[in-house]
Amino acid sequence: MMIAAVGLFGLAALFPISSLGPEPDGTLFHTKWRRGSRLQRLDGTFVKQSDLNVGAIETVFPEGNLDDAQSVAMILRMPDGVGRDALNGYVAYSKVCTHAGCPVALYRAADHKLVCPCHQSVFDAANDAAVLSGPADHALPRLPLQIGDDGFVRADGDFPEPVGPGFWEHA
Amino acid sequence: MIARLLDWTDERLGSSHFIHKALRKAFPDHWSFMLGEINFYCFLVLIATGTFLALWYVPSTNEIVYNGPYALLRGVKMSEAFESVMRISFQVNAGLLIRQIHHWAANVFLAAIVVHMCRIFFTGSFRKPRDINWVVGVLLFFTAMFEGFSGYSIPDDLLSGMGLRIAVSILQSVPFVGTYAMFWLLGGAFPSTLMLQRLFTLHVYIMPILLLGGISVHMMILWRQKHAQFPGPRHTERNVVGSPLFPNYIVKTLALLFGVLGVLTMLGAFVQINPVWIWGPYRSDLAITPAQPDWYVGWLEGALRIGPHWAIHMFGHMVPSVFWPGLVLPFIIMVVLVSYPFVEAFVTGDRAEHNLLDRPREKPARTALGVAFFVFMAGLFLAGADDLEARYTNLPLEGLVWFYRLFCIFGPMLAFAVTYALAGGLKARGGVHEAPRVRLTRKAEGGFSEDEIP
Repeated sequence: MMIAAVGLFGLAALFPISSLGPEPDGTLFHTKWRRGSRLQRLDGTFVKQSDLNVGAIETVFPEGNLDDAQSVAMILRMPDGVGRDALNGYVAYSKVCTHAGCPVALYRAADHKLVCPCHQSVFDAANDAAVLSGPADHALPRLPLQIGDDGFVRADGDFPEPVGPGFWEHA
Repeated sequence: MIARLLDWTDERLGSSHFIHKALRKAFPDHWSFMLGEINFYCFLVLIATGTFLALWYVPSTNEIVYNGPYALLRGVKMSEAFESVMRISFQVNAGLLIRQIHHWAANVFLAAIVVHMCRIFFTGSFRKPRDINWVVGVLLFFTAMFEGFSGYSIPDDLLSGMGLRIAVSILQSVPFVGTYAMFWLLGGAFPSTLMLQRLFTLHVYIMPILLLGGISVHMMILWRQKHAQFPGPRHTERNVVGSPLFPNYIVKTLALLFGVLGVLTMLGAFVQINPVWIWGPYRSDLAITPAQPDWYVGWLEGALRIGPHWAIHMFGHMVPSVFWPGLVLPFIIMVVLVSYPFVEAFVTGDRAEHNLLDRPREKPARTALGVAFFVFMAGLFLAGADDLEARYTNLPLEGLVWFYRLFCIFGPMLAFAVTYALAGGLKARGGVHEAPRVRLTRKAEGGFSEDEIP
């Protein structure tokens, strides 16, 4: 009797607890990038093909979603012939570290290394942001790009995989 | 007057018998027995200063534009939470002082807990019957760590936001329930609009109540079991030799209270801590480098840096590598600490009650184990600042990572061997040499004679 009462009470407690947060659903699988989204800087301007010099890097958000923490990305201009499948020298990656979620904020253009300042994971910008060293366990997701006739660099769709640190439902 | 007041309460509560007995309760004299009280006084300071801060802090992620007296951040977008911390620091009278004392008290609180635990461990104070209080103490330590971290996370400055992001990534890594745990804790994906509200509730209601309850139980058990003492003349397993609570011990402990208050106030007044206006508000695309957490999270930071990158992929699911250093390791450490008294009792077969303490050298194996554990934790802690060490020594970071990995495996072994040998050697040289006790007798002609008492 006692056990049944306690059990019933526990069951009832599940009801309010379940509204502590929304269902995760697919939230972690998608960002705000869409096919055709322009790359917007924090100051509101958009990235054009002619903007970046070789070795340059810029932090960008999907058009109209400045400050969206999941979507933050970086676009890099690689030297000619460097960077797998670079589009006119441009590659773009998620800026959220796949280790513990810090922004991958350091870039050494000389050897195309992206470094996370929190736990020093190093990613190879010339090779799909593969992990070179450090505690990260997978590459930074790559943002597909297209360049229109108007000269604006645009996303060619969302990241093909979830951004940021891993989680159970992440394949 | 006082007598009449006492009579008045006694007639209603019948308390004079208890108070009378309590005031005469004996406490053994040794400086190291006062260490735990530093924790308690830090806790009192944390509650007092924290209550003051809570009068102004706003747990809101609403974005506003700063327009306060700190010119360098004027016009910068920030959360209401960060703005309220700026207001506490620059506009509230004594706000910055209280904020700094609060932060310092948290750091000293955790440090004093560690020192207190070392005293308990190396003197064997955790043995039956005090094993139960050891368990309470270990759980208090971990609660205090979480309490500290939740407080560190709520100013919403750049440094705290990075720390919170890392903590959430660790939570998210739990198999099966990680994503749900994150969504339930924060009320959505990081950085959610509810997250500061949730952390603030944890920091000022839930965790402090757990701490207060835990500390009460801790002290009630201490009171009930009486304090352990070092061996000495007339000291036995069945008595307590020391000074009475009143007046001796009250005076000592009040002096300690004022000492702790003084040191914390001096630290808050003269040593800058967490200048959030320099870090600026949290933004997901920015990071500070180098960035280190408060000292008591340093070992976890180090574990994340040198931990193995073993991500497991199976059946369309993933266990990310942060799971091992971020959750499995702390869990193992907690289990090891909680179970140590029982494991030692099982291994040595010693299930007797112990009210007389050991000198560390008398138990070489235990002392060596403790030092080995300490060296392991120190290795993790130092690894948490490997980027700084690489910068100042010009050593390659990769090399330092490997150094600390090996250090955390072989360092404890070496420490165990060295400590065991040293303690064993000291033990062989003999214990405490008591001066021979003599009876002095004055002779009729004025001289003295000494007769040794066996």
